Amino acid sequence: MSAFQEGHQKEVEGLLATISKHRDLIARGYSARRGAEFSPEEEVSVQLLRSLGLVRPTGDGQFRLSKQLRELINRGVNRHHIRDINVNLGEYLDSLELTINDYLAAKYSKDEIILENAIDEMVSVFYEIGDFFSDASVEIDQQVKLVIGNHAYGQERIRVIRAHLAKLDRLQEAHETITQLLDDEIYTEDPLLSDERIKFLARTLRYIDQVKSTHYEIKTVLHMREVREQRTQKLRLLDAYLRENPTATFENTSENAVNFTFFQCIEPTRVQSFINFESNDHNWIEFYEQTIHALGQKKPYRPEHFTRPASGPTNMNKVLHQKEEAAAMKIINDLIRYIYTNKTAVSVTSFKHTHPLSGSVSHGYWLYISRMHPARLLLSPKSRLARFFKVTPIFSEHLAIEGNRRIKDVVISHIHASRTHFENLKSDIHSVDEVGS
Amino acid sequence: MLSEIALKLIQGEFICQYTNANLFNELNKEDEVIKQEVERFLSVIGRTLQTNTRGTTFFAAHLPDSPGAKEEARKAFEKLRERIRPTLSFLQLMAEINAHEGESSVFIQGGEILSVPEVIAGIEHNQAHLNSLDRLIWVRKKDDPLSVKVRQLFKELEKEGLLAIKNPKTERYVVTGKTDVIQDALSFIVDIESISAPQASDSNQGQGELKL
Repeated sequence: MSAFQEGHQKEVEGLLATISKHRDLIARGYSARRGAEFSPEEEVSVQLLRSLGLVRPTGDGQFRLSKQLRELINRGVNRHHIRDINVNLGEYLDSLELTINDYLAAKYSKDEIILENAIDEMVSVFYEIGDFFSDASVEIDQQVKLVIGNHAYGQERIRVIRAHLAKLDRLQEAHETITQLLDDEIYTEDPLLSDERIKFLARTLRYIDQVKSTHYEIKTVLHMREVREQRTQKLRLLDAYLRENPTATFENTSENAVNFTFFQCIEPTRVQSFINFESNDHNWIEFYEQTIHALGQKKPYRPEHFTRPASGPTNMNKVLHQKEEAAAMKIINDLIRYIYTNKTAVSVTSFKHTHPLSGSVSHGYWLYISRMHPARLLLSPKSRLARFFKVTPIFSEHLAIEGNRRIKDVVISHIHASRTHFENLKSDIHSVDEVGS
Repeated sequence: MLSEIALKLIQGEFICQYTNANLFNELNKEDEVIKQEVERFLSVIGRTLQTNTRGTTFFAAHLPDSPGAKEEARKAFEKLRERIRPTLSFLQLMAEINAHEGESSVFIQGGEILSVPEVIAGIEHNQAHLNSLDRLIWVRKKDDPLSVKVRQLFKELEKEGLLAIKNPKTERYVVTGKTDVIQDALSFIVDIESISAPQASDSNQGQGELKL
């Protein structure tokens, strides 16, 4: 540790020791609603705390804690206990009654000085009540935010949050008691009282918003916790069940899996690429661009074949394969989007890899994107292709009308057939080509 | 942005609030422009955009009525079935480590941070936790030191998408939204199989027998 750090640490330790030494005095200052009294022997201590900016004198033999220290302690001791709210409410109701009586008496006495003093006192009581609600709600909100800020809600935190909710409810009840009292006709008939009443209600509007928002936050957290506890409970039941029945097959779940979104979650689409990075030339990119262009030019249902440019050896390393796969996905993505955005009807497209030496199809790369009537598709040779590849055609719900026929988008993408399937397929393709020509 | 989202979704990835906040926020925007675009795009290939109960992650799912969806869903379930026990054991272990004294623990959920050093510290002096760790399928070499086993566990779960590294230096991981989705799925199994706690009357009966 550097000398500077060490010195700094000593300074902090010294400050904390001073605070600890005068903790009785500080606690007394905190408990007093206005100024706290101190004895002449304590004057040196008060001066010392004042020099540290922790307290300030408020009159002869009295002092208050600084705002910062009070806020710090508020956070630590969780102020505005329900008891405080009740005590304050009782005091405020008494103060209101007393000052209103003084004001009315002064009003009838027609002594201007007494009346002025009574009005001052009454206005300050209204302000004090308004400030109390506003401060209490802000303080509770801050404390709630401190607890809620951390997403890991242990049981202790939940207990604290529940305690805040109870305080908030009590505060709200106290506010309702005061506002109901202010509905009394004396507060609506007298112009000055009516004015103060309206001012008070306007000042506490922010308080009401604050309480609502804090209340909502607390309720949300408690609800989330409840949901989480229930879920944990359920999963523990499942664990216990599996301990008892380790070979459980969950037939019901298997039957109803389609009704739950997670089980409909799609498997990653594995696509054998028809782009070869090893070729290291632009033929592939041109091929891709031309294909996209050709797709746009094609008439519906006219079979087209695109032959993959020669690529040499097809043995690729894993990284290269992944790169190709990613590129192929991008291309398929583009093709699908192209068809969708341009509302183009495109028939089955097959990409074949022709071996550069023999000229025969040695490896199949297939991408079918089609827009045709499902019944027609199922009857067509393309459907047979799909069966060879064990691909279930996917019929989306997107409908379009072409002439007097309803068109559905169909996208089938696949890939790699077994050698036997492939041999069968080749003869099929030839027969389709012959029929087409 | 749209193509990035669509590409991830059709590759079966989860777009999670905690690991891919930018894309997640695009999908979660109030105006729903991107969301609708993605929905339109997915509908072309018979898929739809879905989110979990807590709304912490988006993923693509088959439209329930599309041909083959039922079969696919069944396959997805079969795949999950093999992982139910290990997943539950992992959740139990983490809950027990995180639980404070005298508290009933709850399972971790998306957004929570797990620290490798803290997990190691939570396991090392507790034989029951050590045994639970060794039973997890992701821990392959049971003779490895504890720190190696825990690190391996976290790496494996990262590969499965249940955790994501947040800070490699401090070895802090965030629990992903996919973990929430899997817990939803397990919860679904409990509901659909009507698995419930043993009846209280049974235990009373048992106690009665013991007295005899």
